[in-house]
Order: sequence, then C-alpha cells, then structure tokens
Amino acid sequence: MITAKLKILKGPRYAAVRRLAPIDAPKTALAELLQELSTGTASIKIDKLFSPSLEDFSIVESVSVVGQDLLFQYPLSESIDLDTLSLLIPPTIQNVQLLTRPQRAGKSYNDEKEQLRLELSPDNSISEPVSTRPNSRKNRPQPKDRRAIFVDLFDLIFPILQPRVLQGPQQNTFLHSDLKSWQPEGIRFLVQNESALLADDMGLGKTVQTIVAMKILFQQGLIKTGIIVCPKSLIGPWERELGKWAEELYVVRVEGDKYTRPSQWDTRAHLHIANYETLTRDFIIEPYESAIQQRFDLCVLDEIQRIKNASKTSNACKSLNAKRRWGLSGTPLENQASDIVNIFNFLKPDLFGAIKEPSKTLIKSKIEPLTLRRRASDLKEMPEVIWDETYLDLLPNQRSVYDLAEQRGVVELKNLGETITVTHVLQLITRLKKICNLEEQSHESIKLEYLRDVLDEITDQGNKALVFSQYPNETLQKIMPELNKFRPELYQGSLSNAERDRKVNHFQNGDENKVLLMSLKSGGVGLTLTRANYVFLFDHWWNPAVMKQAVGRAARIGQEKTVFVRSLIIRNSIEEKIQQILRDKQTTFDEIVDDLSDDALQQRLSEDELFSLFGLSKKPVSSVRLLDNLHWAGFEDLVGKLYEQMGFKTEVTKRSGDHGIDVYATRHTSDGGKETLAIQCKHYPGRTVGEPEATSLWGAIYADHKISRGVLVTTGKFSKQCKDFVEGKRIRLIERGELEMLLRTYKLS
Amino acid sequence: MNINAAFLTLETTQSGGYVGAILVTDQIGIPQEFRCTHRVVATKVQQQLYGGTLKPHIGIELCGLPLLKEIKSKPNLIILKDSFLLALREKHEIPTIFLSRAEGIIETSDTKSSSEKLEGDFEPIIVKTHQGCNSDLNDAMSHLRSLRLDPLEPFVRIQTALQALAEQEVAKYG
Repeated sequence: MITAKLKILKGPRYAAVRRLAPIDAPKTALAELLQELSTGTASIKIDKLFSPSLEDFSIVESVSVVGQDLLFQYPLSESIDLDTLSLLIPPTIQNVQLLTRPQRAGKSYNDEKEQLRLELSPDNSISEPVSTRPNSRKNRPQPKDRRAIFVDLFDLIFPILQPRVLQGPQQNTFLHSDLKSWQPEGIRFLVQNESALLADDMGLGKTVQTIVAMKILFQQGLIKTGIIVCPKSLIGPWERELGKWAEELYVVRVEGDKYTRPSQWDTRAHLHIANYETLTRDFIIEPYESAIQQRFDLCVLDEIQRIKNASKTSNACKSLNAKRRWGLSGTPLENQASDIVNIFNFLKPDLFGAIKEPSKTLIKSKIEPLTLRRRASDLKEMPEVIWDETYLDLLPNQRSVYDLAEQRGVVELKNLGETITVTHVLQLITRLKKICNLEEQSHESIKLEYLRDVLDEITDQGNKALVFSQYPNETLQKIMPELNKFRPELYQGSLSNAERDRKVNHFQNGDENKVLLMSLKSGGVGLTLTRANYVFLFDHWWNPAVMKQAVGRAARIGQEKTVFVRSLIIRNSIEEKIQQILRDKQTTFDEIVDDLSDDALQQRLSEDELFSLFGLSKKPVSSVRLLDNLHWAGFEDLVGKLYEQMGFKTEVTKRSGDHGIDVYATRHTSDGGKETLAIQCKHYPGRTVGEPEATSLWGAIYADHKISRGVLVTTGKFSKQCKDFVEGKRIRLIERGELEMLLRTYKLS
Repeated sequence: MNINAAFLTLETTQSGGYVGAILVTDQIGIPQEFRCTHRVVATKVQQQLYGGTLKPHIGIELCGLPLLKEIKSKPNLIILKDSFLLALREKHEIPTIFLSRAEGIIETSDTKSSSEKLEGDFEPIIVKTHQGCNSDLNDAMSHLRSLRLDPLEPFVRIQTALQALAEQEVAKYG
C-alpha cells in the first residue's frame, strides 16, 4: 500500500511547490530513508544516483518525508548530472515510473533534469486528487491507464479557480505587478481576437501582455491547453515571465533528444513551450504522431517573422492544430506583402480566401483589425529608460563545462584549507562568469544566441545597440564575428585616440554599424552614443552605479527615444546567485567605484557571503583531524569503511602484493552488472602524490579486466603530472579536501 | 483573523445528473482547496421513489456531506447558492448561509429564518440562514464583510471548472 513520490529539489527554489513545503529533517542517508519508507511493502535500492565524480549521495544535504513525498535537497553550489541516475527496482514492484515532472511555470527550466519523481504503486492505491466520488464509475480509469498523467486534474483546472483578473484597470491585486499604461489595450486585443498579430516595438512587453491574456482565457475556461513556439534563446525568458505572471500554469518545455521528447509532448500541461527547430523536427523531419495529433486551444508564435517564407518551419507551424493563433513580432512587416500573407496564412488561414496575390490595399484592410502595433516613440507615457533583466539557461555544452569548472573550483578551494582567501573565491567567480558568457571549446553562448535573435528585430526597426562587457578579449572579440551581419565595431582600451573617435563618429553619424561592442572600462564613461537606444549588459559588475554610467552613454541629452536596457543573467549560475544576494540585501549603491573587475564584488558582499556562494565557511575547519593521526593501515581501513557506507562491499587487501591495490570495492549496477573498484590509498599528509602512483594503478586496472575503474585516494595532494596522466582514464583522484567532505557526509569524521 | 470560506454547490450536468463541488478560498478569494464529486445520475426508479426529495437527497447526503468531510481546509463559513442545501446545517456546526442577489427571487417561502442585505462593490445580496440557526447570521455577516470579493462570484469559477472537467473526462474516457 505504498504510493511514494521522489522529488529531487534544487535548493530553496522549490520551497513554494504546491503541497511540498520542505521540512527540516535530520540528515539521513538516502538509502536508509527509502528503506524506511518501504518497510514491509516494497524495497528499493538506488544505485549510482549522482555523477561518478560526486559518488553516490555525498551531496544530498537533507532528506525529508512529507506525507508520501520524499524530498531531497542539495546545495545550489553543487551540480548533479542526473543523466547518470539509474534505479534498481526489485521485480516485485510493479507500476514503477521514473518521471520528469512538468514544471510549474517559472520554477527554473533546467528542472527537467533536476526534479524527478518516482512513483511506486504496487497496488491500486493512487488516490483521486480531485474528487470525492460517492458513486463509483465502472469505467473509471485504473492507475495503469493513467501512467502518462503527471499533472492531476486539479492542477489543470487550477487557473480557472483563481480570482478573476480584470482586463480594464492597470493595477490588479492578482497580477505580479502593475501593467504599463499601454498594456491593457494589448491584452484586450489578444483576448478578443482568435487570430491576432501583436507587433509592438521590442521592450513594450509583448510577452507580458500575451501571458496575462492567456491567464484570462484560462480563467474563463476558454482555453485549456496552449503551445508557445519561440527561438531557442527566448525559452528561458518566457518561462521566467510565466513564473512571475501566471505561476498557476503548468508548463512543459519540449527539448532534449528524440527519446525524451515524446513523453514531453504526451505530458498533460497547460502550456508546452518548444523552439522552432524542435517543432520542425517533431512535426516534419521525424514526425511524432502523437504530437501532431495533439489539439491546442491556443498557439503563440513568438518572432513570427520566422515563418514569413515557405519552409519546413512554416509547414511545421501550419500543421499545429490550434483554434486560437497569435503571432508576436517587433519587426515591421507592413511593407512586405508576401511576408504578411504567409504570416496570416498561419494566423487566419481563410483570411485571403482563394486570392493568391492580394493587393496591398486588400492586405491592409484585411489585417488591420487583427493587428496591433505600437511604436515606443509614439507612446507619450514611456519613461526615458526601461531596465529589464533577462534570465537565460546555459546551452548543453556550456552547462557541462560550467558545472565541471564549478565542481573542480570548489574542490580546489576546499583543498586550500585554512589558507583560502577571498581572492581565491573571486578568481573562481571570474572563471565561471566567462563561461556564462562563452564556452570557448564548443563556442556555445546562450547570451550570444539571444543577442542575435533580438538584434534582428531591433536593427530592422532602424535602432542601434550597445553591448557592454568587462571582458573585451575573452568575450567581445570572440563574439564579434558572430554578429557580422550587424556590422559591429569593437571599442576597447587598446585603441588609439584617433581610432576611438573614428568608431564613435561612424556609429553616431553613419547607418552602417548597428552594434557597438564596448569594453566597460574604456567605454563606460564620457562618450556620447545617443544613436543607440538599446543597451545590453552582457555580464555584470555588481554595482548598479557602474551600470548606470554605461547606460548613460545612450541615455543622455540628445537621446530622442526611450532607452531599453537588458541585463543578461544566467540562471542557476554564479550570476544568479550573486544577483539574488544583492537583491535580498536591498542595498543601494550610488557611488561609482574605479575598480571594474570582479574584485569590486568585495565591496558589495561580505566575506561570509562570498564563501557561501560555494558552500564554504569563512575559515574552513579541518574537521577530520583524525586523518593526520592515522597509521597507514588505519587509513586503508577508513577508506574501506567509507566505500561500505557508499553501498559497496569492500575487501581491504593484505599489506603486500596485489599490484599496490589496497581496497577492492564491489557493488551491483542497475543493469544487472557488477562494478569493481580498485582503490589505492596514499597516506601522505602534507605531501604530494605524483604520476608514478597513478601509473602503477593504471597498470593494475589494465591488467585485470574485472576492474571497472580505479580510485587513488590521498591525505595529501596530487601533482599536476598525476592529474594530467589520469585525464580520460578510468581513474578517479580523491585528495584531502574531497576526502574530508566524503568522510563528513558519511559520518565517518 | 483569517477567514476561509467554503462555496458549496450542486450543479446540474448537460448530460443529466448532478455534480457536487466545494471551493474553499481565503479572504481575497485565492483557492485553498477544491473538490468535486463524480456525476450522480438517478435511475428512473430512483426518480419515481424520491420524487421532489431527490435533488436535496443528492445534494446533501451524496454530495454535500462527503465533500465537507473530505476537505482539509476547514472553513469558518459555508456559502450556498441553493436554498435546499441549507439543511446541511443540521448536520454540522459551521455557520452556513444561502445567498441570492437582492433583486432575485428567493426560492424559499420560509419566513422563520433570518435574513439581511449585504452591500459592497457588487450588486446587493440577500443573506439567509437556516431557520433553526438564526444566530449564524451575525457571524456570517461579519465574515462576509471581511471577504474582499463578490461572494457569489466563486460559484462562476466552480461552474467553469466543472465544465472543463466534464470536457476533459469526455475527451479522455468518452
């Protein structure tokens, strides 16, 4: 009689998830807890839960049981590769599902990898979430029929039960914040038109207007499902806004490989979000029948100009089965008849009837009632500067590299022991920020993708943009070739005065350069660049006064338009963490600082706050003093015990022979196989383990095919040569800092 | 004091039959809990046997009481828009009232129960109690005045939600 749900929650972010308030519980090993939960009815063993480099559950911070839900929390600074998650389910348990759960809007989008639910239902005890049902129905669906239902009916009707959002007044108790004066008109326009093109200038809040309009339609029961199709880089911003303005809506992001997407399409939710490429793949290139047959009450195409030409993408969009169809675009389309016809062939397929080449007059008269376009310059109430933060998710390679760099960085910091200083932390922050900007190996950059997408729209409207970064060499120079179509110029410190003047003049007075990439240090002060009315802050300096100064290049006397400022921030990254701390502190910084490097962060965050970014305390204490006092044989026994705690069977070898292997550790894997580790222990407090030890271990692994991988563990450090040697080999190095952490986690300290 | 109001109703379905539903909200109308019953369809024999008492029987015994028993967010006040459901008050201790628009016709001809007019940012409403529980009126009026919504509006939400659920069920299970 067990219905257990396993959720892996990433940090306090999910504190608000409905019915799952985190509860402080004593730290308990995951396996113990699962066993406790399933006592007498089911048993379950979790194998290889986290990535090999983090070995088992070492990073789970707390585990708690809430009703029938199990909650695991781990620190935000940790990264878990849940691709490696595998579960060993005893054959006696049936109806077991490992699900990715659709997200409540706005609760971070990479959650699909972070939040998992395991349902064990060995009997028919799944409770009906919605109803009290005094009369039973013979044809009532049995649990096995409902496997694909991840969101219960209550979740789906939740928006309908919310207090009504009024379309009239600007201010509404039930909205995240006040609407801008022009937005209610846009919302009414969308609510009243099944086919609509909202073509406001960028910065006027097309996304917010669309979300509130959807919210109203959901509340009125006029729509129950919808799909948003947008460029890849805009998925994150959409989710963020949905979370703010319509958190009652459940959103599923369709992405990933062809094996994971079908279940995402099949998941019941209020909204699906997909990018154009994914939609084209699943509807045209490798059609997924269930997706194609899905009926949506509403389809929103953001950047709808993507379908202005006949293409696979436009065909994919046209095959969407949706009654209401809205398009969003800030790109002026009025003068391009064929583009307009193609777009409205999607929005309202019968608009032009049999007329193949309608005249411009006819087009104009037909589309006018279905189009709303406001220019920022026409709106009298527009403020001079509109600030906005855009949260983006790292691309897959970028994320892997970032996570690895963070993991390694944290271990390195821990290895520094009591010698750690704030400078070490700041160095790691800079390293991570650069990856947030651009991952050099794969050349992936979500910020660049986003920039390219929005610059299209901005420059089409005759606007120009400034892009600021504090890393001219590592970021600006490298993204510059990718922006060639906008004829970018780079303004940085190494330029001569004459060159600087020439670039500024060209940008200010010519039409050719649409974008000026500016190093913060050289471009932040003194210049007048009023030809630009869009400013992108590619990375952050943690000091609003400095940012204002940069924005001041465009927002100054002579500027005739509203200036739109966008800060690009990566979610689940050091950027977001710092931003969050600064926001929580609610401090104001009016002074300008001269130091524009990341070191300036010291003036904003305390030492404790800086250390806490990586889960460190100010003065790390060597909690495992016992290590220094151990005899070498005692150290081997300790390592053996550690691996036993991790779920292995261990054998500490005799003191001689066995190719220097000190401990063998074995366990069963989820696929029915067996994993054997050969562990070599080097008790070298204060000393360094070199390459020869690693070579010797590699030889032992190589000679014995039963050994899955090797582990070299030391109470000292590893030399660079040793680390280089094991790169790409099946050897894991555990040096003192990590060892101490593992011993603490497994309560062996 | 935090007020939770429960809006309880028995709705007639398009395909015949009844569905009971309860929505518990806080003072500003944010939903705390929602439950509904399966569609209850009386057989012809049952219709004959129960006659005029069929609807009250379904509303009170088959839907109202089980719903009140099931909800976890216990309300301070139960609000009804069907007068026959006032009989529920005989079976629990929570103040229970029946509401109708002031210009509407109150279904009951009963004059023993207390009633009062409620005015706010909505069309006036007549509040009526169970005839045996006139003392509910003072508490109820005080609770109603602290609500920041039109107390008949949540019933619209319930109807829309039930309609959506019915469509889901039809779509999914035929």
